[in-house]
Amino acid sequence: MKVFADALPFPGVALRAAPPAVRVERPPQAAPLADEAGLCAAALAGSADAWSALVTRHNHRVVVTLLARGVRVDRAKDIAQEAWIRLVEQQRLGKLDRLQLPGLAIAQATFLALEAARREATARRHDPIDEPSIAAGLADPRCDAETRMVTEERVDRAVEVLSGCSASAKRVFRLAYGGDGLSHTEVAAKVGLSLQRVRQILCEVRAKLRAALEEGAEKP
Amino acid sequence: MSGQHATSAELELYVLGALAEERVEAFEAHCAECDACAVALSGEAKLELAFEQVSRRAVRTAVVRPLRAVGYGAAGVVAMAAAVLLWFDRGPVTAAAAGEGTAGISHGPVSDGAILDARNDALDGG
Repeated sequence: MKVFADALPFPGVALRAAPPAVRVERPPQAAPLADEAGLCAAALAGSADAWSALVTRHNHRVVVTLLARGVRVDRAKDIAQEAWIRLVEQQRLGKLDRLQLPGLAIAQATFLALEAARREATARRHDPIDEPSIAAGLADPRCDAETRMVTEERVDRAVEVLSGCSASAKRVFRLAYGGDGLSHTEVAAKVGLSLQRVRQILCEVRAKLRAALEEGAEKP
Repeated sequence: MSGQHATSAELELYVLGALAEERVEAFEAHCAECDACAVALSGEAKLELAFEQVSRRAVRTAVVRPLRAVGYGAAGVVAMAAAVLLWFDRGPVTAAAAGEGTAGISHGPVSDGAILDARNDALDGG
C-alpha cells in the first residue's frame, strides 16, 4: 500500500512518510466548479488529477465524520489519508465499480478507525480503555444508531427553524449542507454572494439551528 | 500541552473549514493533546453532521408536503366523482312511483353499500 502512497501524492493529503502535516484542507479559494460526476468518472479511469480534486473536495468531510465519532484530530487525519489511499488502490486493482463520494471514503475511513481501535484494544487488553477514540471505535454500531445524538424530533424542530429563515439563507444552507460537497467558495459562486457573506449567513443559520437542536437535547 | 484552548468560534470555524490557515496547525496540535478541547471539537463535528441531516430533511419535507396535498386533493375529487356517478346510476324514478312511496325506485340496500364502498375506496386512495 505504501507503494501507492509513494506513487500518488495528493496535494490535499500529506503522506505518512512526510512530516505530520496537520491541516485539514478545504478547496482553495479559487477552486473551479468541477463536475462531481465527471471527476468520479475520470478517477475511476485512473486520473490522478481527478483523484486529487476529489480528495481536496471531500477530505474535510471525512475528517469531520471521524471527529464526530470521537477520534482525535491527528488520528482522524491519518485515517482519512489512509482511506483515500485504499480507495485509489482498489481503483487501480479494478475493484472499484462506482465512486460515490464522500460516502465511500467515509465508509472506508470508519472501517479503518474501527480496525485500529480493535487492534489497540487487543494490544492493551489489560489496560483500561480510556482513550475516546478507542471507546468510540468499540461502540456497537447498532447501539450508536439507537442512541443517535440528534433525535428525529429535534431534527424536525430544526427544520421548522430553518423554514423560518430567509430564502437566501435557506438556499445557502442547503447548498453548503446538501451533500454535494460544495465548498463555501462554490456556494458563493452559485448564489452570487461573497465568500465572507456566505460564511456569515452560515454562522447565523447555524446559531439558530444549534439553539433548536440543543434545546431539544436538554429536554428529557 | 501545546497552545491555548480552542474557543467556541474557532471550533465552529474549524469544522466549517474556515479557520485561518495560520491558526490551524496550532489548533490541531492542541486539540490532539487536550481532552477538553478534543471533546468540544467532537461535539462541534457532531453538530455539523446534524446540520446535514437537517438539510436533507428540509429538502425531503419541501418535496413531500406538496405531493401529499395533491394526493389528498385527487382523492377528494375521485370520491366526489364516484358519489355523483352512483347517484345518477340509481335508476329512473317513475312518475307513478314519485310521491307514492319508494317501491318503484331501484334503491336497495346493495346500492347503499356500493356507494359506501366506493367512497371508502376513494378515500383510501384507490
